[in-house]
Amino acid sequence: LPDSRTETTVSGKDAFVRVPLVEEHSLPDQSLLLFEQGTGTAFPLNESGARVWAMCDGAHTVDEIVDQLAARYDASRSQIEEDTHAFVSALAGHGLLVRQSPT
Amino acid sequence: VRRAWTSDWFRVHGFAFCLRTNHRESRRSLARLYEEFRVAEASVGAVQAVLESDGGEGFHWKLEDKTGAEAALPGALWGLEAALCEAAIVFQKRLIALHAAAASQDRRTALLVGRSGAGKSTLSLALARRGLSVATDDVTLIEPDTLRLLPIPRCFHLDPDSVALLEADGLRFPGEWKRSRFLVPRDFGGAAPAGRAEVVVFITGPREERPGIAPVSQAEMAARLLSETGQSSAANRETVSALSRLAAGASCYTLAPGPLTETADAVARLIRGG
Repeated sequence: LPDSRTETTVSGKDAFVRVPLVEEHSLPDQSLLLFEQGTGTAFPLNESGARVWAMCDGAHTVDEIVDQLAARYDASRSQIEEDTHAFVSALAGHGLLVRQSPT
Repeated sequence: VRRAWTSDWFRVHGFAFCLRTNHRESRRSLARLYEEFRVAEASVGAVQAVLESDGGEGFHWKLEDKTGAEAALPGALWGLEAALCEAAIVFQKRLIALHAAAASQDRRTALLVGRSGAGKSTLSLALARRGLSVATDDVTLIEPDTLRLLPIPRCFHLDPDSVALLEADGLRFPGEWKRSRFLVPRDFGGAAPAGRAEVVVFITGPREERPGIAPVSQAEMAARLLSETGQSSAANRETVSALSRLAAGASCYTLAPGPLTETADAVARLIRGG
């Protein structure tokens, strides 16, 4: 992803939700192209990025997303955690995700 | 002795123009480039493209508000051809213009995408030397519904380094090169490709010691294609959708070019499916 416009701090207890008006184009190789209609900007996500995006539904915390990725990919949990936090932060920085308010 | 003026009519993917010239070599050169787009009669709304020889003193060309004056023929041909290509792109309302060469073999077509100076022309001619059909080395239009490829053929712009590399690679330049420096895809058997793109290669720079071809995700390629339409800062939904579908139907790679012969061999294998 390109550098985001703003810095977003991410905690494992946070849950994020996808904003409306982001168009999703799923590709056969499991990658995903996001298109933000407001700015006309496209963001390509690889397969693991697409999985994170799909789990940003407000129901999964970042820790739960990391758990699911750690069960799937052959990398250390700490590395997956670091990458996921950075990725979610970047998506939020671009205005594609918003933090879910605690209910 | 001034020669008589001639008129030839062409329609390039909807863009209609009349080529008026009093110079036989110019008429022959531009007709070679646009032969497949020739139409028999005048078209409503066609613009005039004029290339005039001053009878030994130089050449003037004109296309709508664009004009040029050149002492020698190659400059005049290149100037008018560039203006015609730009006008054909600007004319489009729905077709998506990509900065891409189109090369095919046995009905398998590849788009070679990259900015000016990325090496599309040199690589295209090296592929033509290997028997591939190159329809354009620079601009391909995409029909957004069908994803049909509509190349705009261009004359090859080659600097002396590229010519030396291509000659070392075994390319024999036709006689037109010495006469007018105006070579077109048709001179190497290039014809419009059939069907959609099955391979998309995005050329990155600069040239490396060895060519590097790496697969990229289809989403990454769609975003890169978007950057080559000139619409990246404010893309529209139809363009994004079409380029996503184009990438979805293709094997996608980046190419870091290396020495020409190795690079062209590797890309030719990729296109042939080897």
